[in-house]
Amino acid sequence: MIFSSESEPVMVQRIQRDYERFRKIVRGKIKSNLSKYITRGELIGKRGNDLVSIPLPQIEIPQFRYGWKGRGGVGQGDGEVGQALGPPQTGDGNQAGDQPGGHILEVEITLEELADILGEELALPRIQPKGRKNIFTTRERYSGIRQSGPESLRHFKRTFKRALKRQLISGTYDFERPVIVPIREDKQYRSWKEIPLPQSVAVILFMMDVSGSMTDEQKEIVRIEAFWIDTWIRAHYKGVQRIYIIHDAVAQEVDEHTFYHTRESGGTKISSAYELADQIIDKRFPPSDWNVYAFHFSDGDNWGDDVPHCLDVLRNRLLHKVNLFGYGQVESPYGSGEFLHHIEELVSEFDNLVVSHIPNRDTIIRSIKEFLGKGK
Amino acid sequence: MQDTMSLLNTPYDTSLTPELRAIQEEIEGYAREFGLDFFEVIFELLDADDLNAVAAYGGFPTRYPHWSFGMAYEELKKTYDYGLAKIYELVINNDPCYAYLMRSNNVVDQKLVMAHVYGHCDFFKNNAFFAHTNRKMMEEMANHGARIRRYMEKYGEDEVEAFLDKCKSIEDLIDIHSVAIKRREEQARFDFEASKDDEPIPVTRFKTKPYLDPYINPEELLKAEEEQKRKEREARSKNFPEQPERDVLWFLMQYAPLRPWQRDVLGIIREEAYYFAPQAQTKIMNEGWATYVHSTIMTKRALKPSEVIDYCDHHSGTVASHGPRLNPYKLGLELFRDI
Repeated sequence: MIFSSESEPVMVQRIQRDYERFRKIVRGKIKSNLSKYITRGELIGKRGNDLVSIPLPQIEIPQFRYGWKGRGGVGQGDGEVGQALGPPQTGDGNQAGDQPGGHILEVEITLEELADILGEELALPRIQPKGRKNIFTTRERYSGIRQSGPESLRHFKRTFKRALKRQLISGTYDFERPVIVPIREDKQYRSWKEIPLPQSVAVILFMMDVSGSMTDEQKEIVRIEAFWIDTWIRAHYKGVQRIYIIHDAVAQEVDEHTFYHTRESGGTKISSAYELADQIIDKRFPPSDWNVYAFHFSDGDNWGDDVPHCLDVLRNRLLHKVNLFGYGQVESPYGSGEFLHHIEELVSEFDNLVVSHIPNRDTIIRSIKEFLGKGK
Repeated sequence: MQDTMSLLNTPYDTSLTPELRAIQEEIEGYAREFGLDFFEVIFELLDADDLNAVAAYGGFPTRYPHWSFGMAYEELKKTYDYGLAKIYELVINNDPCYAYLMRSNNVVDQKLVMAHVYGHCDFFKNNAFFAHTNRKMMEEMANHGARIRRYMEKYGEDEVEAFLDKCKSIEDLIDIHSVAIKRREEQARFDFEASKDDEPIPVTRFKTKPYLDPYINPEELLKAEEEQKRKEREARSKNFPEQPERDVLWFLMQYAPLRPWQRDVLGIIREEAYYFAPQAQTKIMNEGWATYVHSTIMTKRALKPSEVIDYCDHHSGTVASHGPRLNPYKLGLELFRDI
């Protein structure tokens, strides 16, 4: 008989095998398209609490289809492997369409998986959380039994069993009328144990220059960088908090939305942001308990007299408190970009300082790699 | 027939509960009463997750491994988990007929579904499109699965899978009308056809009395026809293939430079395509018939007063039209009611 059970794998395992295979293909696709996802910022806004949904072209097996009459054939020219063929897109003639063709499959992967893919693709070393910064939280779990407790926690099965046993032994069990009446001694209650859970916690401080010289394109670059940095760091810690600081000549702490949507017209004093970050760390995130990450994005245009102050805050305070300090300089059509050269002086002194220059979107990947390549 | 628990390998018993067993007998009785003629039906009760898995394999838990089934499974599982859709039933054209039911459905649903299943089963057994299908497909699929698994062990999972991907992308290029139209004579594999070039060319000659023959069938006309046919024949023998071929998979199996295992895999895909094709071809009639049967059985016999509301709810859900989309249940049912 064909259905012999010994050699055949269990069906659940079988579908699991095909499912894993499918996930592997999905992973491979994401990996090979990662640089595209990164530079276009496609994934931002598609992120839930722990899932990201990713539009994936062409995972289905291609098949011949009937065309519509009069719609003409497929376009000529050399296609790329995996290029989707769809009806022509509207738009003006001298620009390439930017919309994908039909049959887009949205797959969901966990943030952890995405971080894994990012790590594999950019060959990032894993972050080593500092041991002493593990704080313990306790969690209660109902795993025990005891003799007393509130009725709402009574363990019905155990109580019933004990009552049954007692009645059988004492001969009060009536086979004709099998009623079980538990007495006080029969009753069993659920009880809990406290289990300590180690939890490494981290905080990321994002700082951004919102002075007049930062354009929307530059903010978009910052947003993409922040998304991936955030994804990577979140994959390594249990609880990650984010703090957003914007600054022109003065700095203030804001929420995420405001962070990306504020435009000031004032001058620039980078030290204001560093001062504020330093205060926030001291007050709310003491480095003895927290893994602190700070990233600052600017176009490098700073008010001249402010530079020594900035370097002083960094050298004597901030850099001693953070796991990693990243300075990303985006290219601005207006700014001089000179702050980059000043801060570079510190790089040789401090191992946990990374300086990255991001002239355009295509360099985002390199820059992410620079920031996260330290394994800190 | 062996206990099918071993077929599915579920950790629980998949046979019907005594209650459902009684209902099955009742419904089967009604089905016979209405003159249906079907294979024996074996019902299996499955958890949602297992039902989704079986559905992903097209109803055959023993099918060959391929990632596309995993993809189908994820889609089914998600739509079920999010409450967007659920599978009521899954029937396999086989002798005996296998039908999977969702364990969590309530009794009225199971009744309705059973009646529906008997409709399908009657259709499978009697519709001409299904006449050629393999009724031992359950075993055949297991056999295919075992063969492909063996190739995977021998030639590597990736290589076999890559080839399967190619086969599956052309799996619908078969001659779906082959049930009705024979385009090619079935020939033995080693039967080399005598070269036709030597045969005399048949020409159109009308029957007549000998003395009229030169007038009815003038010599020059016959010559001209013969000449034309000879040219056609010559032109054709230069063509490859001689005749246009609808069954692309058959053509590839015959002529493509394939390794033996690849030819076998292609054959498996082709065989399964021919098995599944009538289900797509007769979708409207098949669903229409099954819906007609379940509504007849339920409303005339099986329904209890307490079940009317639930039945109506689910029946109307089945035949509801969703915007411009064609609902095969609805259309098929209306066609049968019209007859």
